Amino acid sequence: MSLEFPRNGGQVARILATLTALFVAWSAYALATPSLPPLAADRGRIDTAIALNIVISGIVFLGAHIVLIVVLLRSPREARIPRDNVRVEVLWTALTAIVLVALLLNSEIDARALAQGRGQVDGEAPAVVEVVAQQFVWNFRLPGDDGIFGRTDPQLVDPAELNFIGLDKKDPAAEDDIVLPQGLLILPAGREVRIRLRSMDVIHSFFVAAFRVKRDAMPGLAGEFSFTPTTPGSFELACAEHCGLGHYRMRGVIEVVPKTEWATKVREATQ
Amino acid sequence: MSGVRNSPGALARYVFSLDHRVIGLQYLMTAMGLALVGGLLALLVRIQIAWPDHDFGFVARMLPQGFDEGIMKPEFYAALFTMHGTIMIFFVLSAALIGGFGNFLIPLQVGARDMAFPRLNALSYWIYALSSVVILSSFFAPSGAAASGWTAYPPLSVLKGAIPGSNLGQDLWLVAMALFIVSFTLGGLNFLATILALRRPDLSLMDLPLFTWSMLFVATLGLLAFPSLTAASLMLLLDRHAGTSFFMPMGLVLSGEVVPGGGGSPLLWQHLFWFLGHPEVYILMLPSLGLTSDLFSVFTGRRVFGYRSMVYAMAFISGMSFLVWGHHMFVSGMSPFLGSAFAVTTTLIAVPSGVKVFNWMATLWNRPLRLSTPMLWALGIFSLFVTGGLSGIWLGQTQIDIQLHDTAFVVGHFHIIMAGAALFGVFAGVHYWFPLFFGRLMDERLGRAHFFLTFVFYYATFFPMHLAGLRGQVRRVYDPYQYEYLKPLASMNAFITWAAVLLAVTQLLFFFNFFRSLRAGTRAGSNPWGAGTLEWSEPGPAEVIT
Repeated sequence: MSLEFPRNGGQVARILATLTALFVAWSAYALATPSLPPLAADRGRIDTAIALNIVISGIVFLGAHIVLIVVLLRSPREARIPRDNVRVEVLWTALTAIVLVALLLNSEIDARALAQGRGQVDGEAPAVVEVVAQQFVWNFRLPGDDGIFGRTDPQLVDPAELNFIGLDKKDPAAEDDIVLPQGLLILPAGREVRIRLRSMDVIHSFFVAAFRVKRDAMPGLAGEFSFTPTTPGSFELACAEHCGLGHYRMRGVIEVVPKTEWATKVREATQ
Repeated sequence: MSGVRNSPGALARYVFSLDHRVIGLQYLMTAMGLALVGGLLALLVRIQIAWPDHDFGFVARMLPQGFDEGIMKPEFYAALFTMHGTIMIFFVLSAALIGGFGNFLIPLQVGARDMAFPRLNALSYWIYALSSVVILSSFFAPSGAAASGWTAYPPLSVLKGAIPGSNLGQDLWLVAMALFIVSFTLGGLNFLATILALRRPDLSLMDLPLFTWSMLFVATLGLLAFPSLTAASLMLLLDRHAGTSFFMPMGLVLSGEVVPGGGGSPLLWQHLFWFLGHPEVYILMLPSLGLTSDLFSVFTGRRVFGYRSMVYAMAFISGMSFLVWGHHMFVSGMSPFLGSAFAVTTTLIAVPSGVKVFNWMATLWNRPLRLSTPMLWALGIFSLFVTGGLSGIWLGQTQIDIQLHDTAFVVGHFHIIMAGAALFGVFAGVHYWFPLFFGRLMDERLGRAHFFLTFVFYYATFFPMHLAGLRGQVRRVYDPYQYEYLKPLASMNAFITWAAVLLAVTQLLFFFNFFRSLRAGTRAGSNPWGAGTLEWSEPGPAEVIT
C-alpha cells in the first residue's frame, strides 16, 4: 500500500515556496541594511570582510533557495532520471573549494594585518595600557613617564585601600604608574594603543563593538594586542565571556580624546 | 515479541525490556519529556532578555529560589541558559536521534534480529535515565543549578565563590555528564558491532541507508571524542574537591582573597572540552543529514544523487571534525599560528558540506516529489543546512570571528545549523517511522500545520539573532540594556521572544498529534511510504504483537 501525497506544483508546495521566498526577501533586506556599529578604529578590514561575505553567502543562499522554490513549483513533465555524474560532482566540489580557499586566504591576510598593528609611526610609539579584568569591573593602568609598569602582587590586593590590582608601591617603577578610576579608560585618537590584558579571577573578554576588538582575558595568561582608535567620542566596553552573575553589568567606558589633550584628560580623571 | 520470550509480564516487556525497539522508544520518550523542560528554560531566558525588569508573577512564586519579588535573579538566569544548553544538546537531541532512532532502526535497517549486545543496550538506556535524573536534580541543589554555561569554563566552574551555581549544582552537572558519556559509549559500541558484524550477509555497506551510515560515523565519533570530556570532567572534579590545579593558574584573586594553588591553565579545559564539543556538533548533525538523504530518496523515487560521494562526504566530515575544535577559541589568546591551522581545517570541512547540498539539489531536480510531512521536514533541513552552513563560514574566518565571537550571531548560527537541523530531524524521523513504532500513521494535516508554523517561527526566532550579533549584542547577558549601544535592539529582542513563544506553542501541535495518533491514527500497512529500505520489509509491530 502506498498513500497519496501532495505533489510539487500543488498547493502545499506553493505554501512552502511562498514562505521560503518571504524568508529570503526578508533576510536579504535585513542584511543589506547597514548593521555594524559605526566604526571608530583602524579595523575597517573586518567590515570589508563582512561585506564580502554578505555578497558571497548571499549568492549561495539565494541560489540554493531559488532551486528549492523552483523544485517545489515546477511539476516535471518527463521523468528524466539523471545518473550519478562524476564530472559534475568534481566540478562543484572544486568550485566550492576555490571559493572557500579564497575566503580563507583573505581572512589570513586580514588577521595578520590586524595582529601586526602599526608599530612606530613618525617616531610615535604605541600607547601601552594594562587592562586587568575582575568580577565585575575593569581596571586600567598606564605605565607613566618611565614606560615601565610597576610590580604587582596578588597578596597586595586590598579593595579597602583601593589597590584593586595589587600594585607594589615600594617598587620604584610603580611610582609614576597611573591607575585610572575603575571602569573608565581614556585613549588618544589617532595613536596606536597596545593593550596588555589579564584577568584576576575568571575568564572575561574585552569587547568594544565600535573598535571591532575582542580578546579573552585568560587568567594566568597575558594577552597583548593593538588597535588605533580613530574617532574621538565615548564608547562602551563590554565583557563578552560569561563571568558570573554580574557578567551583564561588567561595562566599561572608553573616552577617546584628541591625542594632544590625552595627558591632560588622564590627569583630570585621576585627581 | 511475546512469542520470542516466554510471555513476560508487562514490566519486563515495556520497562526492563532487552528489545531494541522498546529501548529505542524509551530513549525517545525520555528525550521528549526532557525537551519540555529544556524548552521552558529557553522561554524563561528569552522573556528575561526581552523585558529585563519583567515581573514573572506566578512563575516566580512557583520557583521562589530563582526570583526576588517577582524579578529574576541574575544567577538563576545563568543557571537557566546553562541547563537549557546541556539538556537540549545531550539529553534531548543526542538521546532522541541516536538512542531513539539508532536503537530502533539500526537492527531493522541492517536486517539483524536485535542489537549485538541487548543487555549492554538496556544498561545504556538505564544509565542515560539515571544521568537525566542527576542533571535535573542539579536544580534542587541548595545554591541552584550549575551556572557556568554548557561549556563549564574554569575557573568559573571550579571556584565555589565565583557563582552560586558552582557549588553542589556544578558537581551534579559533572556527574551527570560522566554518566551520560558512559551510556553513550555503551550504545556506540553496540551500534558499531551491530552494523559491522550482524549485517545481513547479502547487504553490502554501500547498500546501507545513509541514516545507518550516519549512525556508524556517529558511534565512532562518540567513542573517540567523549573520553576527552570524561577525563576533563574528572580533572575538574579533582580541581574542585581534591586541591589539584589542572585548570587553575597561580595568583588568582577572588573577592579580595588570594586563591591557593595554581600552575594549571584554563585553556587546557577549552581544548579538552572542544575536542569533544565539536564532534558532538556533528554527532547531532549527521543523523539528520543521513535521514534527509534517505527521505529525498524515498519521496523522489530515486536513489540519492551521488550516493557514494554522500558516504565519503560524511566520512570526511567525521574525520575532520576532530581537527577543527580550535575555531571555538580564536579570541582566547592561543597562538595565532594555531588559529590559522584551525581556520584551514574549518575551511576544509565546509567543502563536503557543500557537496552534500549540491547532491541534494540534483536529487530533487526535475523529479515528481511526494510532499508528505517527513519530506517537508527534510526540505526544511535542506534550507537550515544552507543558511546555518553559510553563517558558519563567516565564523570560520578569524577576522570576522573577532567581531562576532560570543555574540547573539553565534547563538543564531548554532541554533539554525546544529539545533535546528537536529530538531527537524527528530520531527522528520518520528513522523516517518511512527508506523514502525506504533503501527499507525500520524495525522498528515496536523503534521503539515506543525511543520509550516515551526518553519516560520524557527527562522523568525533565530534569524534576527544574527542581526543582533552584528550590532554587537553579547550572549549570556541577563540585561542587555545595561549597555547604551544595545538599547535600540529592544524591539528586535522582543520580536525574537514573541517568535520563540509562538514556536513553543506550535510544538503543542506535535505532542497532540503524537498522542492522538497513538490511538486514533490511521492503521498503516506494512510500507505506507513506499520505501525501499529494509526496515519496511518486515510486518509492523502491531501485527507482531497481536
